[in-house]
Amino acid sequence: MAKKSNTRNRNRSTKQPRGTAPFTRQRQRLMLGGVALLVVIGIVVGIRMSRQQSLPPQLQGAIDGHYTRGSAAAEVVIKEFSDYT
Amino acid sequence: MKRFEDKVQLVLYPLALNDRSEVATQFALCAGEQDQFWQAHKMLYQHQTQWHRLSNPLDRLLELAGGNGLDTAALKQCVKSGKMEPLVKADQDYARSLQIRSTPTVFINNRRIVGAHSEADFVRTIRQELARAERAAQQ
Repeated sequence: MAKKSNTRNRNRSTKQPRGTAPFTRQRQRLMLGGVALLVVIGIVVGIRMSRQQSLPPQLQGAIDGHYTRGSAAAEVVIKEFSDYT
Repeated sequence: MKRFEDKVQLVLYPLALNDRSEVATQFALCAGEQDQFWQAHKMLYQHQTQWHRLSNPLDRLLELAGGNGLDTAALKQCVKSGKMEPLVKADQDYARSLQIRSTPTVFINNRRIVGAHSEADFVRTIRQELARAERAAQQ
């Protein structure tokens, strides 16, 4: 009786991988693609954030002969670069 | 901006990215000689569609300025003389040194904000910078 059940198990174990192997490979490819996409998105977001927040050294020493609004002793200085067209 | 008037200073850099905006920038700076810079600045944006595609926008700008009570003869003479060109070039050089490639670009203290953003975004950043300045003052 035990022998019979063993052969049944063997049959099952040899049949299953044949059917699932392509599916598993496809899944792995999808997962790798997803990871690659996340890495790319992370890099793009990182670059954007660093560009938005990086401190340009020249800004600190700028001398302004420009039109201003608000207090000259203000704690926060906003420098706006805009084009009229 | 008004709600932060005592705590925030706005410095405007009109940046000429093409020939037409160079004329417009000189026009605004020349209006400043009549203490009308902000009025000209507002007018340039308000009536942008009337001049920004013209190959020679100065005549149209002078017409608009006349309607707003500016001395157009003095304005024309000022723009034609090119006396504001060095200021325009200096701002272009400064913008280049800060790696500004598009407008609007805004710095709130040292934080760079590129492109159009909502007022709420600016208010949030201003508040963060004010809080930071307050913390620094307490230390």
